[in-house]
Amino acid sequence: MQRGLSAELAFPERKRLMDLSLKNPNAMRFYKVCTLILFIAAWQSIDLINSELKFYNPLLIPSPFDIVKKASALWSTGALQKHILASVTRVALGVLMAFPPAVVLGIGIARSRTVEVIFEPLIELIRPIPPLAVLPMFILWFGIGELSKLVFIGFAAFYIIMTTVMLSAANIDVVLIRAARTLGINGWRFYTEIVFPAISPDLFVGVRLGLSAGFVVIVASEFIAADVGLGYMINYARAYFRVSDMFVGAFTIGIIGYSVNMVLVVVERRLFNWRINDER
Amino acid sequence: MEKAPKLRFDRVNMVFGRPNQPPVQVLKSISFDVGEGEFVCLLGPSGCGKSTILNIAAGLIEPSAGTVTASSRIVAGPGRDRGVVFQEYALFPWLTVRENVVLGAKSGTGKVDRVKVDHFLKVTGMYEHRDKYPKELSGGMKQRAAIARTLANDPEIILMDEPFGALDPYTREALQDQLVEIWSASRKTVLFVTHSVEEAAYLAGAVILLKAHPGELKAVIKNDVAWPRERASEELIGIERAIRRAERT
Repeated sequence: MQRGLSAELAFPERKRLMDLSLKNPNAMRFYKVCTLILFIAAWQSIDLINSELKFYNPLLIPSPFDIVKKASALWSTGALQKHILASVTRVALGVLMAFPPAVVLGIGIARSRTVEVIFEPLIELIRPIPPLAVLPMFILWFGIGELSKLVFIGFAAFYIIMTTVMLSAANIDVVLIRAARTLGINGWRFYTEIVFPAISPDLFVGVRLGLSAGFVVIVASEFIAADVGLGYMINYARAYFRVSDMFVGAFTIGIIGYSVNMVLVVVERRLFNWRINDER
Repeated sequence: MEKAPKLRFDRVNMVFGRPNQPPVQVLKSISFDVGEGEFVCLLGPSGCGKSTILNIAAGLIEPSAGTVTASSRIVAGPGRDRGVVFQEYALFPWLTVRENVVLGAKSGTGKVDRVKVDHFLKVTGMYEHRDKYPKELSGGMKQRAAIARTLANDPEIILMDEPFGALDPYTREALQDQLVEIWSASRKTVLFVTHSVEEAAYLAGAVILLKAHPGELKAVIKNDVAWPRERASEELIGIERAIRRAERT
């Protein structure tokens, strides 16, 4: 009895092979997939029951099967790909635009009193403004073309990336800073060889959050002025009462956001395996 | 004329102001000289300001009054002529051991002398671990790598802030011996902060004894025991006894 217990403690993976309890991460993953499948199955069966009993209008809530059918139809005509490409390109370019000023200002405010005095008050004043509130202005200033959307996404991503960079740069271990100073690493080298690598893991998280913010706001800008993009697709479908199209658009954004995040998390683990606390 | 000392503290005071509290005097009129090639230990209880002295010498903090001269120049900030070895190792975690040492070597001319880098990696026994990241190293190895980095930067004075304080006694002794070897080969000037009487007696040519609240110079104990020294030898125990006697008065 005692022996069995200690062996189990020493070699937890021994029991894991057929462990269906919630302690096993693999079993947990399996159960999560089951939840998803159950949800879709339930939805489909409610739709099936509804087609007999008619207790709600099936046009308003299509079944999962209808949505998948619609998605493959949109995919086969190439329309869905076109919308995806447009939206993803806008988010990517917008975040790319926000990246340099966000990094420079974030580091600047954290590490230079002069930069802090000049830029921080203005940046903090504009921060609480929801990006959506300035979208109409951006459209007036930058037109209804691509530029206004890019600026809008850039605006939303800028604050997120800048804030992560600023906090990270302000919290660099003071011993590392001192070590750099005593090694005679000054000026530009201090920023490129010490500050930038020190904040890079957090910066990566900032970009990840910036991208999700981009996907959140892209739809709004495509609602207002666009002739392509997933937001446009959803809004256009509303005009013609094509609820399935709306679901396809919404789920597509969800799937893209999820996959981008997944890929970046994997890249992050690879890139920053020098970190001390990466045992998660 | 007498030869100018490598490092000179001249009536250095340090007062830390605190918000809503009376200021604390950490150092009171500290004056001492460290000659070229000397190995001097700063010894004292916690709160005596020995780390503050080291940070002032490094140029990381500015004294409230008094002057510090290093290599006949007044210290006005950190500089490559004074290398620091920190208790917390302070290796850059995103660089391998070798890259950390290269960073030290590069700080001089901008060019990297591979032979020099490899030399210091070998001297500190870190050559075979050169491609590891700091997180993969034990405390002793981290400190060896940090020493290699400081040496590669080729400072004239090496300031060491309780470098072996966080290590176990065996590693500690091994690193002390290694340090002595490096020091006797390079004849760099070393100012070494410690709170261990044994460590000070074993390493130092002169021990500067400090007292706390405020940090003041209490005594300077010369240690002329010839190298190679033997731990727990009669002579060193004699030095330890002299230090302890001075502490009590």
